[in-house]
Amino acid sequence: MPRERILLVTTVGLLSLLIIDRFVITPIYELWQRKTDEISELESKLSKASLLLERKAISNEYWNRAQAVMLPEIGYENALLTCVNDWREKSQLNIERVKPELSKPSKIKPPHLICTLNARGTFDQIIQFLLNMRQAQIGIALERCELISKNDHGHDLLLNLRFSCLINHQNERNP
Amino acid sequence: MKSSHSWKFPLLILELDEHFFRYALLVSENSPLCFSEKTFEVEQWHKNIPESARELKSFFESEKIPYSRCVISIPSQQLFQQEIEFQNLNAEYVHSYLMLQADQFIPLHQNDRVLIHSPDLPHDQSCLFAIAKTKLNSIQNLCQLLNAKITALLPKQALLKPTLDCEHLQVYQHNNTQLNIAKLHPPAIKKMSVVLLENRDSVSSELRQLLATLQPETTSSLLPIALTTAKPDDWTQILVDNFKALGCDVTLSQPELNFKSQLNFLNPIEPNTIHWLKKESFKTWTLLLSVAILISSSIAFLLYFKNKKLQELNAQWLEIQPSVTQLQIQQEKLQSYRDWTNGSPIELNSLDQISAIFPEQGQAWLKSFDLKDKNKINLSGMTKNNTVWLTILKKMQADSHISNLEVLQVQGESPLTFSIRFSWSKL
Repeated sequence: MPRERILLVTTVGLLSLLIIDRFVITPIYELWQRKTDEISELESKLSKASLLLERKAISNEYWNRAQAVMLPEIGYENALLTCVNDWREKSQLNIERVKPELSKPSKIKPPHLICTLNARGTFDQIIQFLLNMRQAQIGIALERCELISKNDHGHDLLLNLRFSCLINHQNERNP
Repeated sequence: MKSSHSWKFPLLILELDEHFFRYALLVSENSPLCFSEKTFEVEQWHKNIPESARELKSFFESEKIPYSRCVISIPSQQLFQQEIEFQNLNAEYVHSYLMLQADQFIPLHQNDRVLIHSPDLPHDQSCLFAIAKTKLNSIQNLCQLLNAKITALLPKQALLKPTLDCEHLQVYQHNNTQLNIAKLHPPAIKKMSVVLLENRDSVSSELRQLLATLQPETTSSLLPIALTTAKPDDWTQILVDNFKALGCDVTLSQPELNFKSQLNFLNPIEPNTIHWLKKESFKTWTLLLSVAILISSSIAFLLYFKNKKLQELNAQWLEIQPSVTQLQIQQEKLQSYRDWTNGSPIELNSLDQISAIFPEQGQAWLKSFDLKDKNKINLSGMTKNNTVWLTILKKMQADSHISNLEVLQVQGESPLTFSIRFSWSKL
């Protein structure tokens, strides 16, 4: 075969290969890769979803429990004050001030009621009060608890509490 | 072998050897075949084809020899020939069979040869020819430059068919200067000689010598001589007289002499070659197309199945997506409720356990307890003496719930006041 013909055939062959690669092989490979990625992603999502669905009953149980410990949407302040009064009566703690305050709307935290409480009493009374809080039927998050002794013997203590309770807002009921 | 083609005459027969060309002009199928003594001696003509073509062309034009159609005669060792039997093979197996036969009998590699199939033999016989590709290319180039069409390609020996017996000597008076003498017998063609017509005496003695070598040794009788000349002239008569003087029976005729043996024409090479090339090309393209279709189909099938799988998975996902999304939102909300739904607030646990660290006999008092940010605790208090303080400090350091313990202030000795800060962690 003459040299010119070899060069021509080689050039045409290489050009054809480049064109085929550019317009056929690469697009097909990319399409294939895209489909593979989509399948892989979907399989992963389905696997996670199946695990999630398996835990649906447990999740619902937790959800119901969470709903049960929230303050009612209507009259949440009264409900909280009733509880505080109940704890006070049981512990005989002298509550000087209770100030419920609605939280600022936030995307991270659900709507809740913040309560600042100042009380005075003995160590036993305070412990009893805190134990009553712990056993309460509402969900409480303690943000600050300060105990200050008014004398050297520790019989007269000041309790400054800041805690919050969840409100069963309409938006929170049906996720 | 008989010719099945209608040949157009005059036909130039060009003999190509490695180092020279000879030619013969065939006026009709039965005309005598006498090669010229004009040879073009060239150094390996195929290495300088344009020059050779130019030389031939100018010669043919100057001699007014028609060369538009030519039969190329080449040495038989360059044109391989093999008679084969087809044994009633189907057309589809013929190609494979020919290739097999060629592989077996023709000493040229498959890639280096061009096969020419001549199915002219009677019954189921056929003839397979092969020529080296390079040789054929050279010949084609030469003829292309000559503007000549190759009518056939023949091995040298195929031009004449052996006759059983030698009937007469053929003498062809080419012109007034030379004679071509041939014996109509295969070996005699080798003896084709030239007598230069110079003078009466020299012709006489030369003819005598020549006839002595050409006459059969086995028989005592002399062979008759057929003298052919286009234009009888004085020299013709001198020749007739000379032959008669030597005891030969001489007949004079025009160039339309009957040649006893049929010329052994082969099929024209060009149609066969083109047909063969077209067949090969068609097969190659068919093969390439088939491979391309196969690959495309495979890719299409694979993509189809991939797509189908993707669609199935999508359908599954769409079916469960609402409940999954609902569950995910539920879980996210539960996550955000965790601070409130934790059944056992660590803060109260911490108070229980910290109070357990302090001695019960009134040797130490807590003055303040401040818990903030869920686990950061500041404590201040009093102890009766340094020993009690150190005991408390040691217990706190050993407690696994307590970390990052810092002593902020220690004052006095009895009583000793202290202030510490630490982090409380649930185990």
